[in-house]
Amino acid sequence: MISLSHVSRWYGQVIGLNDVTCAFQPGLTALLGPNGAGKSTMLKLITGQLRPTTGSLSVYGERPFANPRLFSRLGYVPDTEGVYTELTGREFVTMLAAMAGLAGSDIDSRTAEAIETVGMTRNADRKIGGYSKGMRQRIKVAQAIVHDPDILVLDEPLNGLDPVARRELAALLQCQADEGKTVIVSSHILYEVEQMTSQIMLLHRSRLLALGDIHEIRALIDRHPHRIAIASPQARELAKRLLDLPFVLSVRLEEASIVEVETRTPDAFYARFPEIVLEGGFKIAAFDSPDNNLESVFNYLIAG
Amino acid sequence: MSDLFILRNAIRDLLRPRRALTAVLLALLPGVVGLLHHLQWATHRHAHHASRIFEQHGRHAAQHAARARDIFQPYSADGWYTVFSSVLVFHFVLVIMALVFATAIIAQEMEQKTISYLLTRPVPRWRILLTKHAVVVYATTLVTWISCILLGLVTYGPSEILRSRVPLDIAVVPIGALAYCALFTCLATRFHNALVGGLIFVFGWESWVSSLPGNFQLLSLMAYLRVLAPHGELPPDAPITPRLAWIVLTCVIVIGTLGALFIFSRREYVPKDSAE
Repeated sequence: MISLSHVSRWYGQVIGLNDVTCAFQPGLTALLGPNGAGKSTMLKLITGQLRPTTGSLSVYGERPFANPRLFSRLGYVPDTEGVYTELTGREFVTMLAAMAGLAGSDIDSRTAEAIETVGMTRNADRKIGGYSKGMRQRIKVAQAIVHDPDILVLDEPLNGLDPVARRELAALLQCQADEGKTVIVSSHILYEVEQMTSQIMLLHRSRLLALGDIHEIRALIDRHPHRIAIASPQARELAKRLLDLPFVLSVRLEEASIVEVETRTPDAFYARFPEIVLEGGFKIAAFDSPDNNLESVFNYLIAG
Repeated sequence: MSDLFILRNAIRDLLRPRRALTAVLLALLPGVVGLLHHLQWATHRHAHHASRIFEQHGRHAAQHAARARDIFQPYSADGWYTVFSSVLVFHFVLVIMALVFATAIIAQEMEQKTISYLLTRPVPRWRILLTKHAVVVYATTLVTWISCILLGLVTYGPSEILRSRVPLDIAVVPIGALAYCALFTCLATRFHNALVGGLIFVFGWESWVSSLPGNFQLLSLMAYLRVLAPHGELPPDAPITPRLAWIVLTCVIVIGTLGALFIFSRREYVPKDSAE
């Protein structure tokens, strides 16, 4: 559907994307990375605003740059705040719906539907210049979905949204992905992305660091054993018991009641742990894997 | 349907308060200047002449002098119109309108970072640009026409305007608008600071090229336009004939417009801050 093969993009002397090979399939993929990693560059390449300097990129088998044939199947939410501030939200979405090729009779109804989907019906007839950042973000999403595209590309769509709005947008995007669309979301807000999808693509300094399911990626990071934190009133006794396990690398008492375990085979640990708790009659107050999350994976991969 | 919305978008851009005010002021300028000059000349000349006659020859002579003023006019309406039309309408209103509007076609979208919405729609880029360009040509022509007509009314009066040079100028204005807009739109598709380059061209090159010896005026767009709407007698050995003027202006319009469409279809337009 979307494939990149050894794609690089230079801006003069600065490299924006460096020899990236990957593909996007239907479903929701999160594109992650710090500022300057190349996320926006990749999204602009996919949406046909930039050409790759080297390599090849195709969307539905065609080159996307200035390719109007593809754009009817594509919806894009840019990261910039630029919008037509003198238009109302409805006028903005209507204009872009018409430019997306919707039939005249459908424009109004589809516009209303898109605006309703993003929760902007009440404010649709106010000028965008008077919108908050979150409202502008929503109306931008509305213009991207109004023509029901097969591919939805969103550059930092969660920025400026309050937690409730973020959840709502995440739910909307998951819904789109469940319908078989290809949804690509770039974000810095790692914990929110985690709630949306497990399919991630990590970029760092213009290179592709990792691609795939977050848990699979985590499992492959052998250099960093998995950490598991267990809160128990019998922390000392539990720690002694866990030390005996062959696949436990180390055990530490973080506080009086928290045991932190390191292991390279978390699955084996999770399989054995319930038996140990039952055998010893330990009370377990909390159980968590602090680094089994996106941020930790990201930090490990960046640190090398 | 999409063309209609691009058209509306382009018209809305032109009607932004600052741009609309600029257009209104430009449209009024030649007429206002013409009117002021007309009033000042009439008042000053009459008072000066009559006072001198009165001093020298007494009251009756001053009255005769005042009647003579109405018959003898060293500068005819044609003369005044020729000067003001050439300097204010063609050299100023027409070119400034074309420059400001044409260079804003892309610059406006880049500055407000909305260009990505236009370029990720299933509308060929050349159509987007051509629609906006057409609106700019129309607006430039309209404003220049208004300034031309107002100047004509002030100079000739309503009864004589149709028998004056004004209709010829009105016929030529669209050619000038097409030519200058084509040139500036083409520049705007290629260069980020097309407005600056355009100002240098208009107030630099076009201003002094005709004063250079030899045939440097062949490199001035205004020189060709002046041949089609002459403001004064053309010398018999002028290097630019009306036929040549038509050919060159047509070439500028065609090449400039096609060049703009070609460049816009192939170039990357990404607002600066958003490029990562």
